[in-house]
Amino acid sequence: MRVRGPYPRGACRRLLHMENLEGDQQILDRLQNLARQSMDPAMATRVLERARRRPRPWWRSTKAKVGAGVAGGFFAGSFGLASAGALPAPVQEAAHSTLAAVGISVPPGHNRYNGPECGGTYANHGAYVRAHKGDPAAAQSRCGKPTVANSPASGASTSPPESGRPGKSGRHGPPPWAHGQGKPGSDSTESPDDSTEPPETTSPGAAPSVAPTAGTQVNPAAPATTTTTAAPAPTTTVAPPTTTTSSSSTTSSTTTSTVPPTTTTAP
Amino acid sequence: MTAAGLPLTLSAAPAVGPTDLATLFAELGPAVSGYLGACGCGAVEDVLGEVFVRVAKALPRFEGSSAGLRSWVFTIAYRCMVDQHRWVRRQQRLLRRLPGPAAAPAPAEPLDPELVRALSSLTPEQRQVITLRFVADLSLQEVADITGKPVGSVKSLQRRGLDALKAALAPQ
Repeated sequence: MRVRGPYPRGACRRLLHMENLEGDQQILDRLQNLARQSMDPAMATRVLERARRRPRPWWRSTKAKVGAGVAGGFFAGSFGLASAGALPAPVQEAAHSTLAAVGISVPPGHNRYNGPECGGTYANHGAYVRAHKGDPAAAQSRCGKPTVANSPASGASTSPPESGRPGKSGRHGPPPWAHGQGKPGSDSTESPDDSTEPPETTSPGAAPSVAPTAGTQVNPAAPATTTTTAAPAPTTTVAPPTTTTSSSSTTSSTTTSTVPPTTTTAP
Repeated sequence: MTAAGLPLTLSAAPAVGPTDLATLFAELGPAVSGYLGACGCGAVEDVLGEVFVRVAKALPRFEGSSAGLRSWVFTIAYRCMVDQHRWVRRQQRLLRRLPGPAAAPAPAEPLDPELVRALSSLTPEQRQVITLRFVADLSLQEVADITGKPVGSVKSLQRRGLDALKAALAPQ
């Protein structure tokens, strides 16, 4: 029986003679002559001069300069935003922990409560609850919750409340005076709702707030707000970078002015 | 042309001196120039200069024999020529969009105009294989390495290219 290969016989013959160049010698000679042509000496000199020229260092190239500028601007901008605490919270937290390793202090992102009763550090409250599935009180715990409303700077205690609900100075729930616990501003120990915000100026219709308590944190970067009400006797108020309010119940006109820390004499 | 007479032991040289580069240019410059001209490169001097700039830059790192050096130089020449073709194509696209006549550089008169004209009638792949194989005097394997094609494809392109060249050069 005749065995046929995978290729037709004609194709096999062509493959066998594919490298046979005997009949093409004239063309091959002409092709090889192209490579033997003499070069123009002036052109050869120019090419050699160009090849011998010292290459420009990499740091002088435009690409390197643009790349370095972009990278420098990115890092400077990131550092500035991190210093201002203006980055998104996770990024700010990462920048805080990273830069803290090299001794640079930037504001943290989320300041989460991870007290000793939490038994570890949790990214958020959900992570704590997931880690304590068998504990029915885990959902009521403060572990992993933001400590903005309960930080020592806001005047509240750092210990978790017994009920697990935010205290008087917490952010949740109705305002304290909604339960008939007194008029607004009657409790001198009551701190403003958010200590990190600049203090609000008093309006004529609202009850004026008093000078901040010892636990109240006032943003020193914010300009001091001095509310001066015309009083019968001239008073001199030295305004530190805090909120100072002087008021009189008998006055009918109230002036509000924002001034940098200075000495103001009100007639 | 063979590379056997190349009096260079560049793998052992720590740096390229002017003599090394001049010797290399004297040995391979005409072949590279002929290869570029045969490929239809318009600005032979520019591309030749770029080839030897790259050669001078990378020569201290080269390791290999003289035959390897020849193949390496033609690999650089091949890539420079591909870059040049792309640049020319970009320029032509740009000039088509711009008003005014397109100012193309006039190519230098080749040594064998009839042969170069016949070469330009081949397909780009056939022309690459023919010029690398016979003008640059490289082996089938080296041509396959440079063009990134299997050796069988190079053989086939060579055969068809030679046949087409013979037909183009045949007296009318």
